Amino acid sequence: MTRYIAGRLGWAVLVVFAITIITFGVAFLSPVDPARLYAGLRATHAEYEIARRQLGLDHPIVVQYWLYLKRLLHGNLGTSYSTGEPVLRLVLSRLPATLELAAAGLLVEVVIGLPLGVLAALKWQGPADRIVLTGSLLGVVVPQFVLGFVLLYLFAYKIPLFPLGATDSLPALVLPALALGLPGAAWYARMVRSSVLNVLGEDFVRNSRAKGLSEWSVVTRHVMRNSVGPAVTMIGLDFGIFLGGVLVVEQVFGWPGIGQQAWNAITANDIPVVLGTVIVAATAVVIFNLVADIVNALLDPRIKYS
Amino acid sequence: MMASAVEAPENALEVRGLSTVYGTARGQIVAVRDVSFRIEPGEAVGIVGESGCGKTAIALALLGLLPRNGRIASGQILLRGTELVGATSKVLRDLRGRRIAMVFQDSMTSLDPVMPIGRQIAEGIITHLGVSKDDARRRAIELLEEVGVPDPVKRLASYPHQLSGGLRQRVAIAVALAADPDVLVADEPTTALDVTIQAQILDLLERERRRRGMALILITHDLGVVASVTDRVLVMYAGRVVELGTTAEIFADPRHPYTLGLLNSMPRVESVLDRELPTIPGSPPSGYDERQGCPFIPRCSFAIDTCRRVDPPLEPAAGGGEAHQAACLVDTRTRRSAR
Repeated sequence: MTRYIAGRLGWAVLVVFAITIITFGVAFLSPVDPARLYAGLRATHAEYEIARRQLGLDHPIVVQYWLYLKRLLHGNLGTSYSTGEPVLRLVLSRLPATLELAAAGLLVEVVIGLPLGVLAALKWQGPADRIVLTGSLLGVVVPQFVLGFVLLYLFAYKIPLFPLGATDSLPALVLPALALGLPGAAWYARMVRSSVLNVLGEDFVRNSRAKGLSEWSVVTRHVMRNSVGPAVTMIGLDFGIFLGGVLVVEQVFGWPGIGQQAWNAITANDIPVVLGTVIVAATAVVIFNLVADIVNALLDPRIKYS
Repeated sequence: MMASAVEAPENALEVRGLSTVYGTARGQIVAVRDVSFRIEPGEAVGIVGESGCGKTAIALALLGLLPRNGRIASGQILLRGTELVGATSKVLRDLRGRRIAMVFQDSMTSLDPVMPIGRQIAEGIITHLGVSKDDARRRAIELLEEVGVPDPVKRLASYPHQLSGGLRQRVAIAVALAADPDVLVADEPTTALDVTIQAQILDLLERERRRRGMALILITHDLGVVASVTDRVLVMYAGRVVELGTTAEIFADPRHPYTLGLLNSMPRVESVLDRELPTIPGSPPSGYDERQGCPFIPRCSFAIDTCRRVDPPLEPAAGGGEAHQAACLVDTRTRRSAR
């Protein structure tokens, strides 16, 4: 187990390393000249050169990357062009709101998607299965911003069950969480349905029926445990992705999270904030993917041996 | 003479006129056609035939575990007098494992890969005997010891993939024996194993049958497997029983051309090595085409004209033992029409 985790961890570090190369590359290729920005538009050529040296831009590219990496390792994600604040502090200030939304969205995905998937598989080709299949197809194809606006229109405007435009209460969390989680729930339902169907065809399921176990015991003790693997992986990935901010949903609901900040940074050409968000988001994905891998290894003893 | 002085022994299992059908995209397949047999307590019966002949369909029907697209079309299955055909799922659940249990072909796939084997054995015990977890655990240790798994206490926590094929099959047998069934159905229990291990597993099944006075149904494509273990043999072809008799009769005095073919295609120690092993030409019918007459005709070297019109019923073999029956119009001993 320890060796398995160490191996996965090694990969995770490599992936994050690769991400830093990409973000550095983007910053390097971007048309915005940091030295010009730093020195100010009316700076003299000499002042500009000093700024370049101070920012380390006179070094060869490899050295520049090394300096960039060193700064990252010290938690320095750069400084915002627009506000002059450290990017890390900006991102962290938005993290609680995003964390709240991400957790709620994930809850919607899991609580709605998993049971529906299991139900559809158990009632294979029955009415329940057809309803889940059709409904989930709808959930998969409707774009998130449309879903968000429809939810707002129906349940905040037409029938004012939930607050419109508020972001600071539990009821205010419901609609954004649904908009974020429902498409995922649809995916989960379809995925879980097919993995449960696969497992239901396995010999050991027939064998556990041959033991005289009730259908409930067969499903809860043998089928579920053997079919959650793909869902666990998805949950890990999704949580990572959500933590990196969900631009569309945060934008539709005016949710003050990382995604909204990233959107503002994109429109303002504030490249350090954009790239800082990318690094945080990507790292979150890598970390929770790693967590999912470990959970899967705990659930399935065969994994760590392969 | 008092006819009722000697009571007929109660059958452990009696199957009467069992037919099963499978619905498929290409239409309906009759997998088992009008099969009847009975097994006394403690008796071992072999069901032999090529793959697709309906052996496994019988086994699954006995446990009420036919797949979704399969069903019992007609017939009766009496387990110690209890009718299983049409029984509610609650009744069936109560009988499965406790009265009739099954060992499947591939222990790699028939054991849950993510549950320790101890729990897989204990499950059946707890379900049927209503004992505590600790008692079930103790019973699981005893069972593992009984089926020859070394170091059973340590093995309880093992997962199937950590065991060798032979050990896994022993565990699968322990799972089946957990609630002390009256009838054990073993479907190709040795097919996935090395030859040396095969003999050990057969010995184990034989030993457990004797020890427990349990009836054993051994399903196999390999006549050699039934030779050493079973009292009687059913030979199946295209969903029918084509020959039925004591194991000795089947080997010494086979009557159906298919049984003859099976015996001839068995390798023998004394056979000349450079001669090719005889095979039965052709392959069994697919189950879709309903042809008139005997289903074995295309592969039969004894066939006479009448065989094309009449599907021969199972009848006592001329000059054979009292329970020896074959479904063939030709007396294969003389190559003459039997009737």
